[in-house]
Amino acid sequence: MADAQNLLKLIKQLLLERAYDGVKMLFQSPVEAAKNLPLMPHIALELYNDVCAPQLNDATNVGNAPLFDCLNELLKIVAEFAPLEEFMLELMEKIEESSSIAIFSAYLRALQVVLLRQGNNKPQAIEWCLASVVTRVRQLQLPDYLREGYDEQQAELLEQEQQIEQLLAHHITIDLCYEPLLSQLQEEQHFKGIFRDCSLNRRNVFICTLMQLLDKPLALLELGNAPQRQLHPATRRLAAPEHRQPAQTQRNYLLARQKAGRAQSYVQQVVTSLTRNICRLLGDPYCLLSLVEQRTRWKRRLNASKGVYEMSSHNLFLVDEKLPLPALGMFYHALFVGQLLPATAPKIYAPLHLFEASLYLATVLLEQPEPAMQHCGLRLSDYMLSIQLEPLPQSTLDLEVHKRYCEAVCKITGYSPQEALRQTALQALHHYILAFEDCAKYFILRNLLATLQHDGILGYLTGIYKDLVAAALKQQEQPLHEVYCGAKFRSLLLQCVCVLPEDVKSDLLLHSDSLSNSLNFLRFLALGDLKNRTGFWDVRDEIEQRLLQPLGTALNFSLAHYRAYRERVKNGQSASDDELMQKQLNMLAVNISNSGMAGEGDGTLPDIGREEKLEVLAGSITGLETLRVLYARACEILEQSDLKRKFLAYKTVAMETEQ
Amino acid sequence: MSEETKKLDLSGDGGVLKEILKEGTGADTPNSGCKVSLHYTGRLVDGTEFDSSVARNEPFEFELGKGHVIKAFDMGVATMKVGERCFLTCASNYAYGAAGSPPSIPPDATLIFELEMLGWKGEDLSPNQDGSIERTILEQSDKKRSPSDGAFVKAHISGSFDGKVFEERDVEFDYGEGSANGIVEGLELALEKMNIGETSKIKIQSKYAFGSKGSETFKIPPNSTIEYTVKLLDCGKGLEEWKLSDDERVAEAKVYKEKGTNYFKKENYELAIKMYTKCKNMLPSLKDNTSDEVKTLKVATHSNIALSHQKSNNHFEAKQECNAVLELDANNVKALYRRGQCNLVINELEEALDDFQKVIELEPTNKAAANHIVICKQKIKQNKDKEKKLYANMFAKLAANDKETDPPRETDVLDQCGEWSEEDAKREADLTLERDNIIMI
Repeated sequence: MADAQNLLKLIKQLLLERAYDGVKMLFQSPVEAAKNLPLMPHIALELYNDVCAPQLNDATNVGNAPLFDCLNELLKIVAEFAPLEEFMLELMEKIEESSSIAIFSAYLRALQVVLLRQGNNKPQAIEWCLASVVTRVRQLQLPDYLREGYDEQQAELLEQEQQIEQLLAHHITIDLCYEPLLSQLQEEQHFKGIFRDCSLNRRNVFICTLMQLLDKPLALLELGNAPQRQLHPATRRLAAPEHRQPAQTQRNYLLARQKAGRAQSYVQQVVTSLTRNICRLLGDPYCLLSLVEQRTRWKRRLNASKGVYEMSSHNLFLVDEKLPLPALGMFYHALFVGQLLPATAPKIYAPLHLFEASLYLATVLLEQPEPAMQHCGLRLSDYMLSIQLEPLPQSTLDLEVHKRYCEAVCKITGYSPQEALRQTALQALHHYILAFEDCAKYFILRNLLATLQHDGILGYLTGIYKDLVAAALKQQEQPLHEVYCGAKFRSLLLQCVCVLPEDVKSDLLLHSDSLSNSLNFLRFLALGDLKNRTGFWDVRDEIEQRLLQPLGTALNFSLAHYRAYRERVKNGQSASDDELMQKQLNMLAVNISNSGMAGEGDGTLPDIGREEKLEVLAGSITGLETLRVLYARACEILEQSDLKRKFLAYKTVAMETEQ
Repeated sequence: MSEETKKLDLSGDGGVLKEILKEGTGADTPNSGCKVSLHYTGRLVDGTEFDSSVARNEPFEFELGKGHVIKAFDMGVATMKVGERCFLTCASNYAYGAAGSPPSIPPDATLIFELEMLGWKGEDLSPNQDGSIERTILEQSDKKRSPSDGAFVKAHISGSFDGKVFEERDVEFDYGEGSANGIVEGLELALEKMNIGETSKIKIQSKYAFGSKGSETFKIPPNSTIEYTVKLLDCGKGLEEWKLSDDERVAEAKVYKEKGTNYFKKENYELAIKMYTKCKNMLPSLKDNTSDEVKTLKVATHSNIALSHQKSNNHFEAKQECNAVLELDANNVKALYRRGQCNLVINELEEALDDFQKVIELEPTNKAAANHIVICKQKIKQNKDKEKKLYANMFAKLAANDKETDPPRETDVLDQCGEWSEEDAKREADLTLERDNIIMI
């Protein structure tokens, strides 16, 4: 003991004399080390408390770098000999409170030593230690725009931001720290008998921790971390499902990665490293996918009387706090979209199962408030659709997750303040609908048209159905599928497409998108289905009554109203006019916020002058006039086609009579 | 025997052929839903290896028959016994089809798998994953609809213990209300994870079955594991709350309230509370909807939950519900009266007295409240007396202890005061109680 105390005194004295090399010599020279290291268990904690802890701080790092280095080395030696549990607690606190990357790195090195010493014992303690690292990363200050959303140009400059640089530096340090531990783990068997051991153990704790690191804040940097598709969206939109070959799509992803022709960004490096490490520990990277459904579809019913608590599951991967679903979503995003699947990954999983399980995760990501994560959700679902070998069956729609997914995508499409995100979501919705077999496509469209409120999306969906009917009509020799003709077709057409929500009193400007698409659909049917294969002509009178007649009247009323209003504004205005104008302006404000140009987003605009009011009114009148042109054109074609049909029918009868 | 005849045609159309390399042991093969563990190596017909669990140095595990793997794999593995090794030749339509799976599996590829079955276990459906509810699927269904909370369920169940069937019947109930139909908790939990048309065998340990009491009706001893064979015949969809307008929500809430009242009348308080809670959650928020009807319903629901808790002897929970009523309606006599009763039971006597006194203020003729005030006052007095006695005894005992343990001191204060009588002790205790700033230990 006396020798140990003498060693402690000597170290302190050497430090006072700034003889840092001397301190290092005490443990690095083989002769000295052989003498001193055995004494360390007696003085390790004292050395830490008296020497390391008080001086290992930013002031030392800035003012006396050699001392900082020396203390850093000493700390590592202390970690090798200090009592494990006590020192772990100390390190956890220091890591969580570390004020800079230098301090964080120093304590993390010590933690590495401690964890290596701990081995497979006490996984709970290991979990707490690793949790302190995650907590530290989550506490780092980040620019607000990461949560609010940013565009692709901003995404390219992300790593120039100092706070983000700090975050990435932390991640890289953590990666270096974990490496030897992961190598050690990889050597060990992780199957309990013939089945995977999912209980609380060191390997599983590491898997959960690495997953948590993939979650926010790192996930917020993922917006730009996706290969660009080679297929132009417009081409894909038109492409029939049979042309969307998975081989082609996957090849495109790989090509895009290569063609990007730039070094991987730090974000990509960090994500790649974390994902690969998780795969190393998991073995089969898909194995957590089957748990996703279990977790999201059937929520665990907590029941204290039966001992069912949040944390009581014997399967660690079922506990939300240990393995958050957004983190799992980001892992599979990296694996699939980021093309990080290891070459050894099993290839026998059914694509439909992979799609269904991923859809849960994509939905979780879409339901996150941050646009960057919503982007990832869209990319994940889109990629999983692209690897399907066959049209998705209707039976899969029994899964509740499809409804949640549609709701989330439509919400983003209609109301996200980010234009790029809205566009991507609309494309994703389109790809999603087209990926199903015909009856399922109809089912989705029918439900969305019946439940959605957003006029723009309603119009777009009508357009999709029109394209589907058009494609079906092109197949002259085959009978139409039941969802494109007969009762189902009529029901969708009359109840969802040819609808004027409040009859003549409807706000035509508010519904202009859906009305335009409905009129286009009618015009198309009048031109393209002269033989009445769909049964459209059987309901023509009903369409007249439900839509065309009230719409004609409404158009006349609205135009007359706005023109009169414009006249009143030209000649000065009344208070009631102001109110109406404010309503108009509010509508305009919504449109502006939807197009991503909103200012502070308070929804009101300052009072505007007469000229601006006239401009708004002119816009409204133009909108109504466009709608009227469409209306007139649709009515005209309907009339002409009806005549043509009658003529054809007459001709056929005449020919038959001649014969 | 020719080469071809050794191969078993599993699909019936020659699409999946199995050739046994080594016979397995026993006669059992895994059922659908089981978690299977095996080793496999997949090759193309030219011998190129594209996938292998052996190369990964760990067994491959998956849930059989759920469509998690390619069709041929599900088919082939279902026929294997423990320890069996076989070749499985899969035509492309049972594997990756015309598209293949680039880059490793070309289009229209026939695949050959070498399989070795290591073992399997039933699917664990228990909330804690502790094996207390285990499912084996006997008849798979390709439908994916399962009962959700509140949805109508129709099933055929057959329960057995020790190989003997103790009940067999058709059941129809709303999911979540199974206990009213004699459905054990484990079975209801399992039903949630079954698809329409599926038949499964559910092994349920006692804590999710008849517990430590057993069942006299079915002659099942305490702590027994039982087994059910269930076919889920039909199920509805749960309510889609997000679709409901405020009026519809109120209407649905009334249905739940009605159900709750029915269960209450049948003295099934657990389900009554469940239904009333659903009613409460279904009602629109008062922030969005300030109609009197919603408020009245909320008040009635909280009040009924309170009463159900009272009947189940959960007086603390009942008090919380009364508090919720009083937040909405501070002068609700029923809630005040019930809270008073709860306070009385949990020995918050002063609070109970306040509650009953407020009831009298609001309803001076309320005899029950007046009676309770008397009871409260009596109890408060009794408590005080008890405390007095307690402290008196305590001091007396302390004094006695001091006498026994301490050697007699010359300057003992007690010597000077004389020995304490019972009365002295009481007086001292009274004084102690009167001094508010003294902390009672």
